[in-house]
Amino acid sequence: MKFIYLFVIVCSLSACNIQEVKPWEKAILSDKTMQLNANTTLNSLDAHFYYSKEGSSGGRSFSGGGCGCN
Amino acid sequence: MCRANITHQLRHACCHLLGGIASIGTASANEWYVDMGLMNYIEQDRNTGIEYLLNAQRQLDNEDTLVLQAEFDVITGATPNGASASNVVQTFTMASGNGSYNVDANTLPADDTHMDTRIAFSLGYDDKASDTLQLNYSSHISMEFDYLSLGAGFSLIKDINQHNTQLLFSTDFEYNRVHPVGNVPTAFASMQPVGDFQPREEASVSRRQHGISLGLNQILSRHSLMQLKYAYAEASGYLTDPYKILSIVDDVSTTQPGATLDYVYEHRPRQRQIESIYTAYKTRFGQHTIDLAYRYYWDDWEIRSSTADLKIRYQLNSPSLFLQPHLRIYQQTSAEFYQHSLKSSEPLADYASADLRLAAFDAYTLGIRFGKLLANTMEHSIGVEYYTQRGDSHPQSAIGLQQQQDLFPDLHTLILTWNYAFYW
Repeated sequence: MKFIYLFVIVCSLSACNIQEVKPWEKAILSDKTMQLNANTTLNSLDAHFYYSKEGSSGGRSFSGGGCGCN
Repeated sequence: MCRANITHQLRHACCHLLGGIASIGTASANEWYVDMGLMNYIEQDRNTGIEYLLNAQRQLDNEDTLVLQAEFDVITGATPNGASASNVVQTFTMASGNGSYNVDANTLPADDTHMDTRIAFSLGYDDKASDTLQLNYSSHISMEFDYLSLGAGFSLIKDINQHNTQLLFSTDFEYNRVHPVGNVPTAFASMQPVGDFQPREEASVSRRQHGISLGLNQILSRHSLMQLKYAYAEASGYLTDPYKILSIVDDVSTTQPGATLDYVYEHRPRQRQIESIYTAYKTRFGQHTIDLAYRYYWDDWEIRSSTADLKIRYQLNSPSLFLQPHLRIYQQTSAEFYQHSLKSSEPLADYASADLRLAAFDAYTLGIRFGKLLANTMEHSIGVEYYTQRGDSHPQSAIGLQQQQDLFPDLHTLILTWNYAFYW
């Protein structure tokens, strides 16, 4: 749970400090690794794995699994 | 660097500089961007699964993007059937009613005759309606020998605030047809021996799910951004697992309390309302990228879960090589109708399931990925992860002989993944 509290604190501090970023200042943000869903294929495999092992799903994507594994 | 790679880099950079927050794929005109993934997971004493996924994207002349995806997976091994471990050998009738399998004493009952194969296809179309508006249409079909799923979705991304903020909306619908081996079992009916009349009803039943999601992507600085999403979904229809049973244990006898007397088929509610809040934060420190995500989930089956996920992409001395440690922490409460077994003296509840996935447990994933950036957005990587689940092995509600059994054995899983993305 400490991890979760730390995460919330980090996000809150970041959200309080939103800076206006001009188009020419987005070099780092344009990198593929900075995309919020940087690897859709691995994320899809992960989502399907956890959907079949746990009682909850969704969040990043639709909570339906398209399969009879849960 | 070859001319083609330079072209890719320029196109990619321009796209994101103009578009703000990167959220759509990396397809480019006249070429397919192909992203392949393979997952092989091995559960100790349980299932082994292999899943292959191929995602291909192509940007059309009008800057719209076509997305095709194919999945194929096979699962074999022993799947827990819901019954409790016992101090004697247990015999279970297979779903077909034509055979049986035995489970050793003091062992979690699992159906080792289980094998499932799934093939799925999806089609997506990203419509760049304007400089600040993207629309996405998607559909999927997924087929197993006892399950069919059809789905469709629509999403909208609206850029505002000089492309520093994106508003997200999506909606999805899924229709599923379940046609279990041996037909749908009667709720709470006793499992019958091989050769006897099996308590079965219709050959197939349906379940549906639809949902909406609202969200926000926000650039926080030149090197960090975040996402916040709320999702609501409703599932209805046959939400029971037709292959899961519960043990009925003797809580009356004074000589052998906790002995198994019977097995009955589980029964779950026909409605489920699901909600979740998901937030992700991404930042760059030097050459390294930190990816944090947290999800809080709740539903009207009384399952509450928290999932925290941390990935750190650490660039090695060579700029094209990276290591990515991964930590995931998951905690779940049990469904209100979850019971590890039923007591013989008590009347049946409306709903009951002993599916371990509906029990309270903690799960942890620890892993590492090693990869090489081949060229712009082209990447090759392999990963190894360890996933474990830990629940209450000796709940206070266990009676007599059950107290000697492990009613939630730890799950240990080794996960191997491979990923290769390239232009074609």
